Amino acid sequence: MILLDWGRTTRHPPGVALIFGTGLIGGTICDALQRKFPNARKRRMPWSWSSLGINEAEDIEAAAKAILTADTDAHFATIWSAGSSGFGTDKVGMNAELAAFEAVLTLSKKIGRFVPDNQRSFIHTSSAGGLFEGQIACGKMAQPAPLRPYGEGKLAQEQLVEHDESLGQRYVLRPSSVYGYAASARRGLLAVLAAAALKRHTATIMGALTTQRDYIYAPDIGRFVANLVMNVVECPAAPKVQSMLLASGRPATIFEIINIIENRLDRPLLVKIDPKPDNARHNTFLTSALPTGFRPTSLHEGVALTVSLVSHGLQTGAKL
Amino acid sequence: MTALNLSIVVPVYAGESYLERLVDEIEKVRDAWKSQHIPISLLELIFVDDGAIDGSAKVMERLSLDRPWVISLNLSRNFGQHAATIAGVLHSSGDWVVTLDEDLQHPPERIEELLRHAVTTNADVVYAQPASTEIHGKAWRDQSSRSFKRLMEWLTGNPTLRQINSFRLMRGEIARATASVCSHNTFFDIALFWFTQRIESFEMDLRDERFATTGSSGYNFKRLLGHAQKMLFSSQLRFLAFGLWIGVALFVCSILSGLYFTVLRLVSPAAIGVEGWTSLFVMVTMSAGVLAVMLGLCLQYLATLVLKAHGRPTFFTIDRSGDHVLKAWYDAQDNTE
Repeated sequence: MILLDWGRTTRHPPGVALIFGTGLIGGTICDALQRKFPNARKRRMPWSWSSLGINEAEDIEAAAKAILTADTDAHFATIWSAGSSGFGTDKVGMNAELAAFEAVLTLSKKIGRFVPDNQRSFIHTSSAGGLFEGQIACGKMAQPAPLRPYGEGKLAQEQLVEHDESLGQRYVLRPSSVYGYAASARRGLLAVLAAAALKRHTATIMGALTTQRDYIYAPDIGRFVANLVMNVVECPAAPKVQSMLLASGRPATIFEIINIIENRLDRPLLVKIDPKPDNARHNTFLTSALPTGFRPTSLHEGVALTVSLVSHGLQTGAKL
Repeated sequence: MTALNLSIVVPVYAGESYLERLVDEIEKVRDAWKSQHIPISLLELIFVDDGAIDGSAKVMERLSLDRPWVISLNLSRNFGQHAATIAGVLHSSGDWVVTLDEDLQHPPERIEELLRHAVTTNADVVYAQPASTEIHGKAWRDQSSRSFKRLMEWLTGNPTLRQINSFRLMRGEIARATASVCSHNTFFDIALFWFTQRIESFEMDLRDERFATTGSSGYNFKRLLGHAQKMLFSSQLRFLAFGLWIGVALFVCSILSGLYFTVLRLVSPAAIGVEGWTSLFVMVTMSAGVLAVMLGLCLQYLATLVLKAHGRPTFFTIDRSGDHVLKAWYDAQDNTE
């Protein structure tokens, strides 16, 4: 995990953000926060996945406490963007993730006691794909209806956040299919396809070519989360909970994605298509369901940026 | 029962005075489908503002605020009806996608007839076919439109061009795949043919009220020429192959005539009165033949590259299994009647 702390400036008071999960989303959140708080200090701290070890939790608590107790107006934010699960994870796997999540909640509440209610926040990154699997053109009124343990687990995590006022200001974010590239993160469909095209390898498509998804560029989420943290820091308000859908509102089929990548790289993409895919349900969202201030990058631009990053990653020897 | 969904895409260029009425009409259809419990719902109406020249954008915005199922998209400039249609289709999520003109010349209540025709004939695309030959209310305009389509059919060898109409129902997967391969110069309906041969038409009364009453249409001669150019560049032209075969014929002709004149010279030397013309004739025919073959081959290669650039796919898979729900519903309706 990453502990990010920033000092007082003329614009904002000091604060601490704990970022659990430093993959594709967590990485972009950390980068965006560092841009928002130019004097921010980033520290990587040990955190084991299975459950938060006593010593690890104590170390994180001690580091945060030192900063938060030094100023009465200091802010504390916890950001959960972790997750070892995927669409195929079973109940046992999701329970393990839930246990790890509960340990983070406990730690967050413990540290949160050092600051007043309106100076702490919890930002939870869930999964629109898991919650709304098989639903199309989801608007503001769409209700989550998970179809597999992955979605049920994500919903259970959301409920824990929603029902716990002691976490302070709570934001439950539901990103759709996230894409982008980070050297240390899990590869999404787009990065895998781009890498396969660049290496002239065959990529396996686990969905159908006609499967429609809503692809969202990871740095868009990073910027949005950084804005949320900044809003809480600059305008402390009574604790409440808000759920937000982070999607592009522009559905795209895998066929279209392949076409965009092929055109971008000007070379054919070799693909093997699973004839019996278990993850081929459509999942699309309406732009009217997006929160105010969320500006998704266009698909063509996002793919072009991802392809460039993957290409650069390959040139610098990253394993793809 | 698995419910299907339908998206409607409407490119908007000068529809300020029609949009409100159009939405009302579509809403009536939407409500009627709900009350009839037909296993398909009207999921979304996507307006695409193609750099509209009137106040359409504001009307679209207002309509989309009032109704969450109405989506308003704004193109950054005027890209043309095809581009606007492609943008709308790419934003759609329905199992079926219908495209309509903005000016109510395509009655939304007839969409269901297109749908019924599609599932009963197992079609992927159904075009509304004007029953009357007088769509625009002016004979010369209708005749020129028909002649233009016939000429294009002959030039491109595509038998479906006569059916083309902007009031069309398409299987969502086919429509989105087509839209995703189209470049700025690809004719959308020609690209549809790359993905499916199951193209049908369905006769209905259509009348271009705007043209009949005001005399102005969204299409002028310049735009029609643009359409023709797009059609030709999106198709593998017939006469490219003719050119190649004419070259081959000339080359064979030169060989045969060369042999003939050689034999004639040996058998009957007096038959050729002018010295040198035979060899000149054979050389000219042979050179023309070789050149025509080479040019034909080059053009064929070029056509292949152009079609590849236009995104013509090697293959595409499709799942039509959802149709049975709707077909069963229509069968049940027919039986109760």
